[in-house]
Amino acid sequence: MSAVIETKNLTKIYGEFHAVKNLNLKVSEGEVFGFLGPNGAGKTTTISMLTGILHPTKGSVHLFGENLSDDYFNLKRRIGVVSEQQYMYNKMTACEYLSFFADLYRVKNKKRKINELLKFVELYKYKDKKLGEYSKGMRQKISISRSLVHDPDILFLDEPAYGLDPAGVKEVRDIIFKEKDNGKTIFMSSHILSEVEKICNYAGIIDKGVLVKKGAMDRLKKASSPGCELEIELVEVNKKIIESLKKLPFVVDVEIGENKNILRIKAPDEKNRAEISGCIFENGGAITGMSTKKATLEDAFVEITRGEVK
Amino acid sequence: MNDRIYAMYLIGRRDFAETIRSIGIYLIIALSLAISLIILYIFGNAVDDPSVDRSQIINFIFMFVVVGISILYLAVNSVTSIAKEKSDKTIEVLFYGPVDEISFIAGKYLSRICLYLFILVITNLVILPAGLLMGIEIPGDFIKITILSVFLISCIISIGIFLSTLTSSVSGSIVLLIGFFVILFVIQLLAGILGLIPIGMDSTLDILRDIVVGLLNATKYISPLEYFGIGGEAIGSGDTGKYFLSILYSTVYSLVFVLLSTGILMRRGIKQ
Repeated sequence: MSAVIETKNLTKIYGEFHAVKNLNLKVSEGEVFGFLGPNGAGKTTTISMLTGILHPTKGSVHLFGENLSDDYFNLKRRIGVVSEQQYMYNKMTACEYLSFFADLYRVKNKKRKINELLKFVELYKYKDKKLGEYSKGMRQKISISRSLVHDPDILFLDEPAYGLDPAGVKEVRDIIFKEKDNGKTIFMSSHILSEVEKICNYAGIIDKGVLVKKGAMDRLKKASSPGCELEIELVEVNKKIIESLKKLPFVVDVEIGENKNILRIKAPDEKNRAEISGCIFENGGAITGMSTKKATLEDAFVEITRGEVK
Repeated sequence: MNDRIYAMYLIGRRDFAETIRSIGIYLIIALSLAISLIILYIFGNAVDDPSVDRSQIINFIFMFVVVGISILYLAVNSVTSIAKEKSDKTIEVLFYGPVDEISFIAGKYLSRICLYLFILVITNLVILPAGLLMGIEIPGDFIKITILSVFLISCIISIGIFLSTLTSSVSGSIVLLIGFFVILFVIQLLAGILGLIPIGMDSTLDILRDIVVGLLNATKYISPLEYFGIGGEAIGSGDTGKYFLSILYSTVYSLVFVLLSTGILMRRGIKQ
């Protein structure tokens, strides 16, 4: 598939500080790309450059194969952006606000489109209320509506669930899912890794301005840690069992849990459960319980960045 | 329509609509009308000497009341326009769409020109008929002064927008505006004071006077009122060439500051 977002050596320097360093990234059509990183890693700076509100110090941004600075107006009409903070004209009503942006994007049948969007985000009955009177969650939904008013091909979402309560997070997630189903390419940054894991099929991790890892979500999760972790509860753990388990070719690591009766065994996948159980029985162990913990994006993220995760 | 012109039109229309829906502009119009009508009433009743050209009161009221109050209002309105968008960060959302620095600055500039035309139309629709009712005719050079005032306001708006691009806070932008006019005033005042001291009395004062006079000459290029003064003189002396020259100067002045504003916005970036 062709790359609809591509950066070539994208760099942003503020004085001596390199916010983004030689970022080379490709996102294909229809992909839902999660852009992750610790605080101050360069996520928002990158999205600002991708959306054309920040000029790169070096490098270029290509959307649909065209350099953003060469075909600025046409490319801008094909993208929608939601930022983490909902900056809007507070004296306008939702209808006026969306109407202004619909005009800016030259949307045909704007009235119908605006009504559809307001119904979609369940704010139709508040359409004549001033935006200054909206709650944070409602404002975020209006921001999302604004980003969708012209039916863009790419959606850039910078922390779309920032500051929302769990219900708000779910509502935003549902909207993104619908857009994903509509075949939109989505480029999303978020601190809520569980959300990214649910929504995105590709991801990249940026740290200190450098893209340290990228790829399909499944591969990324397994990239820095084995596929799963078996947690086995025994009547009694002895040294012989641990040594035998460590000798199994597929076992990556064996740890004793905080509760001395528990063993944590890291292995590539769950298929080795039978062999692990057999090994324990052979060495006189008695299993009282077994659970599997699959590799998560959070594990991969922490391992890769060794940073702070919310 | 060209993308840039279209974006400029929409930004200008939005700003214009927002301002005419707020009370501020109507207070300004009401204040202008109240002062104008009071002056008109007092003057109309006080002067009945047929040798006096009573129509000149219309020019006086227009220049010192309508234009004067509009200058103050539009200077503040312009200087806060971009600073407010930057402090509210609404500028970022705007630039996510098909808007660039040129269309943004030009839209802001044009909306304020339209606001002045709006003030102009309403005030003239009241003052001129009121004058006629009192037997005061519209002066022959009124149209010329009115046109000149649009160019003066254009200079004020462009310098206001320029100052607005230099800061991200509304209060900071007002401080810049006040500072700008205070500096112009202080230079003029100093030049006036130093001009009273005889040349050769004190060498230090002579050097100081030369510096201040140099600064005074330099401020003639950046003071918007200077070009209006040239145009006003031209109207008084009937010098059409000089009149059009003052319009040309004002146009170049406005263009320079609009372009400088665009350049600063491009250089400093939308995101603060």
